[in-house]
Amino acid sequence: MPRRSAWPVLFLAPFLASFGLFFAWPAGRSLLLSFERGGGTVDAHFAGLDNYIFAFGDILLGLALLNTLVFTILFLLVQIPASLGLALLMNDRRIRLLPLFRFIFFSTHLVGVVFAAVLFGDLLSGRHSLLSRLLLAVGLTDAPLDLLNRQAWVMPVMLGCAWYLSVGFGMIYCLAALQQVDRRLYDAATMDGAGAWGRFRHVTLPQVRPTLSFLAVAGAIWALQVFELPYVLFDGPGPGYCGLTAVMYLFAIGFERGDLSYAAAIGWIFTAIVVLVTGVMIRVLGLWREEVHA
Amino acid sequence: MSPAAPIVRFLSILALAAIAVLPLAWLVLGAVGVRDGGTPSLEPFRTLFIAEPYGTWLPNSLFIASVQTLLAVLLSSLGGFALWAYRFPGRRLLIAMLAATLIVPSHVVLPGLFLLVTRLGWLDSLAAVILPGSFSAFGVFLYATSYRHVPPTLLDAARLDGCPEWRLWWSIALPIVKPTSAAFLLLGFLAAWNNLLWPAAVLVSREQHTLPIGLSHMASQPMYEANPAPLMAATLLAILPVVGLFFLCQREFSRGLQGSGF
Repeated sequence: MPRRSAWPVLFLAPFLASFGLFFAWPAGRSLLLSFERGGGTVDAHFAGLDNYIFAFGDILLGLALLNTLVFTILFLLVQIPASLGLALLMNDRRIRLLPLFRFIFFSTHLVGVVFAAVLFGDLLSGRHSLLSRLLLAVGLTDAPLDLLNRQAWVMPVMLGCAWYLSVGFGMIYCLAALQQVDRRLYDAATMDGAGAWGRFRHVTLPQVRPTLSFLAVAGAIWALQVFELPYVLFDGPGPGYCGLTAVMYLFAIGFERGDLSYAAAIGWIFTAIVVLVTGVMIRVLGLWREEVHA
Repeated sequence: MSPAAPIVRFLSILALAAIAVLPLAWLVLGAVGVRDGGTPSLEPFRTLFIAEPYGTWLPNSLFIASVQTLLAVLLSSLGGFALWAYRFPGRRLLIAMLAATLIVPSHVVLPGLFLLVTRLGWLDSLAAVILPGSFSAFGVFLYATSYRHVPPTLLDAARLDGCPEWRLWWSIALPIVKPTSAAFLLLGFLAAWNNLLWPAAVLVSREQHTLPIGLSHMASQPMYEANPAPLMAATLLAILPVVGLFFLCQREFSRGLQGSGF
């Protein structure tokens, strides 16, 4: 029998081995790569900050980061209120078929990001798409629409698909939070003369705030790393590079062009931005305070 | 509240549910080939399996996602147990380090990981996808917080009865956090099932491709824009395993989602 103090080490060993080999080491290797030219090939040589300096003047990288940030902000601006709104609508146990509706709203999340993109491509693009058929049927258009080939529609299509995947999922969290609000708080607010808006503003909102904060941070982390949606929808960066995202650019540079050094530099610049954005959000929203330490 | 309010509420929910169902209904109609009228048939599925190596993508995806998810559950539940049940030197440091990696996007390691996988000779093998996906810092945290539902006195009593330490994890703590395992399992499987970037980078030959790789290729072919039925059949079949898994662990799943920090 190992001594008792050996057990936590044994329990942690498989995780730490995997974490060290497949995360810590490659992260360090990526950092080294980012200071090289032709990293990973026979011509690899130290290049100092060249990759980072090049990145500063790289218009495509700037565009990719801008698209990613715009997508993330617009995604959250609708995702959070919509999830809460849907949950408020669903927060009444007298609603008939409530479990069925819960499943229907959650089911969109199970489709998964790749397959939802395939599905939305089929819904929105081409002669036989549902959208073209509907618009032709009601006479709003006289020719089939091809939204996926129009620059102005790239971001709305991505956002629509992202909301489709996530609003029902967020609703489940909000609903759970709403159901834990103490009824007596509402009674007290009513006695104090609060109307429906007052009860929402002064009881509901503060009570579900931690859940909304969690959804916002988790949603930001997810949205900043968006890749599959545009990659599958547009088979690449889309018309006018409007669907080019940070992770897609990293993928294209590293694994389509094969420049691992520059891809690593992009990865670290991107990481700095993600850590900054989510770090500020966690700080401002006051999330995850000493949960495990306690 | 006015007497009409419950009806308005119900109708709003009904309308929103219709929006949620519409894409999936359109998918099913496409997969059985009845969008332009005609009788439903399984012909699109037959065409799919003849025209595309779907019979290869599906088992590859099933194998990768299942093994990867089970490994992640195992490693996370063990690691989380160590952090929760023991006090040892370096524990707080480890927690701080793992917390920091939670907000680091995993994509930053990919260039280095690609070199590692190449050097190990794993390029184009399923191991190159499965093993790097076997750990989850988030999972360790999730379990470490979920084990708080386990009464510590239970562990002490079991120790007095001579229960070996590993069984404290396997027979006592793990069954209590079953809802967490269900939620982690389902969401982990969903993520692995939809993983496209890394598999596309390391799985080169067609025999090793997964469903996301295969379907993203299919979706870019003009022939499936003219006749989307096989593509819709492929998409429908790709969604079903996740839905099946959801129904398998549905009850535990909804408790796990609500009880923990997911």
